[in-house]
Amino acid sequence: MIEFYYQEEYSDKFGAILRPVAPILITNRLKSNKFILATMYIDSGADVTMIPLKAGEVLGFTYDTKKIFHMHGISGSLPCILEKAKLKIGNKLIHADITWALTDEAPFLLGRRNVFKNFKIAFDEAEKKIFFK
Amino acid sequence: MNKNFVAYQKLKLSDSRKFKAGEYVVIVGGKLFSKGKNLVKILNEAQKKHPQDIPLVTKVPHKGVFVFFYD
Repeated sequence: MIEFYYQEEYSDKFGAILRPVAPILITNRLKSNKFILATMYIDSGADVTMIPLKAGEVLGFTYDTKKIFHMHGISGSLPCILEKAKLKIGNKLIHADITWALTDEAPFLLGRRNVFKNFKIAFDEAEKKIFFK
Repeated sequence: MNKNFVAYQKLKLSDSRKFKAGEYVVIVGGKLFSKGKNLVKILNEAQKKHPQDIPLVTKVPHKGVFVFFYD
């Protein structure tokens, strides 16, 4: 079982707020020497994992206008490119499609596609922990 | 738990005197290394100074209420 933790952050509206965060090692599946270790929000509402623009540049992803599509969220849409990555979650290595947002306004999100089906995930906000079994 | 993640948990990213919303923050060697918009440059410097360590990257969150979903 892998344990992650809630991080206390701040919202203008609610003050201190807890958000579920996991440190995830992301590797470019086509260039294995390109990787980044990032804190990601564990987002059961996200269809797919997302990383922001500069993180994709670190991973050596290349910009191709033909591959751009738009992801939709509450506040509008973001231009993205679908990329192939490996995610290291605890000691488990997962091949996953991830979206590279072409803006730095995007957060790091750990979404469901290729990820959640590998685990039973429990959010225990009272104990400030998230369990991946 | 990794020392860089422990250092991240102790950072007060909501302190707007120290951190700007949206900027990248890089932690290495158990300490805040640098922050800013140019993540590629910061990581190159971090890896030169700490070749044995994997830097941890985070972003300073905005202070709004988050409702994330993407489809």
